[in-house]
Amino acid sequence: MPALGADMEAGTLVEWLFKPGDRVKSGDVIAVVETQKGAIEVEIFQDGVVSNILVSVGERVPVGTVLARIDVVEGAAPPVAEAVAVAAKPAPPTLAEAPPPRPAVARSGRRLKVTPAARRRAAALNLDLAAIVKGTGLEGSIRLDDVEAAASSAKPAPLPAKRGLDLSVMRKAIAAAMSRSKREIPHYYLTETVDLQAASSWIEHFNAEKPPIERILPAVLFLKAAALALRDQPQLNGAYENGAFVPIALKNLILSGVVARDSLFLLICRRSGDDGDSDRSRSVFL
Amino acid sequence: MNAPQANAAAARMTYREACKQALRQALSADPRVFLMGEDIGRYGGCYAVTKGLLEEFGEERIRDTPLSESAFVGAGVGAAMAGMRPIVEIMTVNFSLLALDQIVNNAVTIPHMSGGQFAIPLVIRMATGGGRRVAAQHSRSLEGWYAHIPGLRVLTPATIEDARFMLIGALADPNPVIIFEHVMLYNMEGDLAPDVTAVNIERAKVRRAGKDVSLITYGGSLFKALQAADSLASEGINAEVVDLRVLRPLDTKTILESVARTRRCVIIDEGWRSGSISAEIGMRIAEEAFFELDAPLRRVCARETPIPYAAHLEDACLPQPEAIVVAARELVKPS
Amino acid sequence: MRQTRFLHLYDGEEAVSVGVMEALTQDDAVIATYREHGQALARGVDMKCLMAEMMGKLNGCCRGRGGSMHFFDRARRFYGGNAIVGGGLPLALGVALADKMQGRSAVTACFFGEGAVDEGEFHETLNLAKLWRLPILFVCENNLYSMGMAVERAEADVDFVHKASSYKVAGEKVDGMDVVAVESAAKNAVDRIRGESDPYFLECRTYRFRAHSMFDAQLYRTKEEVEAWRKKGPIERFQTWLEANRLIKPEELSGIEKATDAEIAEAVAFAEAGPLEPVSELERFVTMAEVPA
Repeated sequence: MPALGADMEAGTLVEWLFKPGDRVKSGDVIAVVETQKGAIEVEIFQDGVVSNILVSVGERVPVGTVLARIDVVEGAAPPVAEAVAVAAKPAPPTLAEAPPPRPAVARSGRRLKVTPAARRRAAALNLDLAAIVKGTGLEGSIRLDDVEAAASSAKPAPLPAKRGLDLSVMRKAIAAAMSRSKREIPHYYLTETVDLQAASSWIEHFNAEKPPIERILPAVLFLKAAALALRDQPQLNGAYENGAFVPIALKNLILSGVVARDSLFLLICRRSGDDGDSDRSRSVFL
Repeated sequence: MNAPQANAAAARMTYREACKQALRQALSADPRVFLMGEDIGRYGGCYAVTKGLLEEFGEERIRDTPLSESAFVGAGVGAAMAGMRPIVEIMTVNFSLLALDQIVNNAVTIPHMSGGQFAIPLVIRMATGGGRRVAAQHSRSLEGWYAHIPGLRVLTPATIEDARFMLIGALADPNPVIIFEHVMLYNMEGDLAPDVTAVNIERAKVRRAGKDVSLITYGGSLFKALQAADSLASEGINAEVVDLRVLRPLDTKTILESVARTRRCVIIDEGWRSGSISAEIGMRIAEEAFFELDAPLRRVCARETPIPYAAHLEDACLPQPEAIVVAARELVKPS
Repeated sequence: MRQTRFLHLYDGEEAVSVGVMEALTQDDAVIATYREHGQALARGVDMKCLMAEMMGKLNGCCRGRGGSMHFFDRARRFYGGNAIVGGGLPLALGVALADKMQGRSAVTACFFGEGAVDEGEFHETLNLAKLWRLPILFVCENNLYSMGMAVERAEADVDFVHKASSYKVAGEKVDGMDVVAVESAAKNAVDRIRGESDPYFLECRTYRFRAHSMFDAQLYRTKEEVEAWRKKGPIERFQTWLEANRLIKPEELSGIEKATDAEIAEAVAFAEAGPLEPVSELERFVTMAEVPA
């Protein structure tokens, strides 16, 4: 079905002037097609013999549909002569370039009107826009002046709490504690090389029949060794306060704290008594 | 190109005179330059821009035409194709509607359509704008329409300097250039600095630096914006005024830099707002400087009516300094 | 057929292009319409480039930008193909004016259909051409129909020479199906234009055998009318005349036909082999970096 006009999408086959087996030559009118503009004759541009008619009289088909097959004689042209298929014009690609995206700022609960510039500034200052009671911009919008004013007068608001843990407060506490311990407690470092083959074989054997939740990590052995050493050398387990040595009761040993995501994981080793029973490691979730 | 007549001191002249000197310089420098237009010769030009040129350069080069916009603009296209450098005057932008076929279907398509075989180094000058009580068919500003067409360069000289030298730049451009001369500017007087002998036809210019709001405008509205800026200054609002100078291609860089400085913007456009050049400028700012904005975009345009005859109605229809002040003030100091 | 957009065939009108081009030199200029295959070929534009242009290929005369309606060839002073009826007439004014102002004795042949006579641009152009004494040969191809509008239904006065004379432009009517008559009239006209530097109007009565374009059901004319005109067709007529006057031998005729078939086949192959312009070049030539020399 040829496209006879830029806006033609389909046509109806109303008459075949040849049938299979007939010879046709270039310039013959082979069919008549009905379109919005009336009946139009379809010419053929090859010499050949009609082999199949694929669309019957009365059928309406889209532009590009093969109407008939013709065996071309003299082999000059391609084996199938068909009316040209033409698709609709493809949509032109848009050439606009998008500007690079800017980071979004977390919103508080209510809907605020904030100018783009103010929003950026608030994010940079870590300022909670919800703390600004009234914007002085058009339609009550918060604008740069309002953000600057809020930043200079108020202290930065705490970030919203999640699952009871205020991360920034926790981090501050950790930082303060670590700094203090580094400052006030003398640190002494001793290095020893230890063959851990026996220990790791023991752990492997111990864990082999245990479900994962009951298995122990190598760290547990280090904890126990430390605990036993401190028990045997009590003069290492204490602190100097006011000029005197004060021993510390060996109750629980905190190995390390790990901050992962929003939570602080602490490994605590509970004392099980002096019978040397295996200590359990337990992770505690704060 | 010969240097223009040297002026030791700053030369004082009208905008009209600056246009004429530009034409004289062009005609003197290049024998391929010639003028066509209605009443440019014997009459001396509808706005007296070409007065005296016929006597100086003769009938071959200063060609009075019959009232046939399509024919003589098309002749300009054909002559440019065949080696000449015509400057066609269309009396006003209102009459250019009769030549739209030749401008839009021929002048800007032939280079692209011929695969680069032909350039159309044609310059068209048109008077534009309202304010003279000549009613709806003689008062339009259609610069924005022309700025829509790829292949065209659209210039809007608003100062004496630009009127004097933009034409020379336009003649050097191998592409069709339309120069819009606002009717209210012809009588304006000013000084031409002696050391300026050329201007660019690419960039917008900051006419008044400021920090609180950008007033972006072109052509006849420039002086209204400057006047508004003076008023705003007395209220403690420091407005920056940007003269676009070129409506196509727009100097987006200068516009965005201004908005990044002031964070607020009022666009002043004597065309009607719907689908106007102010819409295009606003959109570009929204596309590329959204995060710089500290206030919504605003514009002052002609009221959406045909331009009326009665003085008070015409004044109400066209952008005025007071409206610009109100728009700018509202952005900086919302009530 | 591999070009199926707008296609305006020239069959039946060949005598007009061929006859007029015979009267022109390489220095003269030509402005045509969207029905320009005849003018372009007769002017000597390479058939291969035209075929490729119709297929939208990069090796077309306009890089595939213009298509069937917009042929341009700078070297042959072929200033287009114009799809706006009457749109080419003001261009002719400009080209002729430029030639005259630069001291060239070139003639601009401006082809248009009788439909263009209805557009304001025709009247503006004739008036100005006479006023400024421009060397333009206005060739009005009157094929009796503007698309579907018969000339008797469109013209208050069907005498086109009369219209030209109302602008004091001299002119004549000629049988556009007779290539010898057209050539003779065109030669006289061109000599006159060059000698007197005045425009001239030539109405060529002709007929198009095919529809206005491919998408035309031809409801406005009868098959019998078309058949009658086909019998008076210019190629047939010229051939008969040559044969009757023993000006051509049968083997020369078949030689021409063979050569033409070969030329067509070569053109088709050239066009089909041609590449497409890369989309990355789309914006090239929207504006020109310089005026081509």
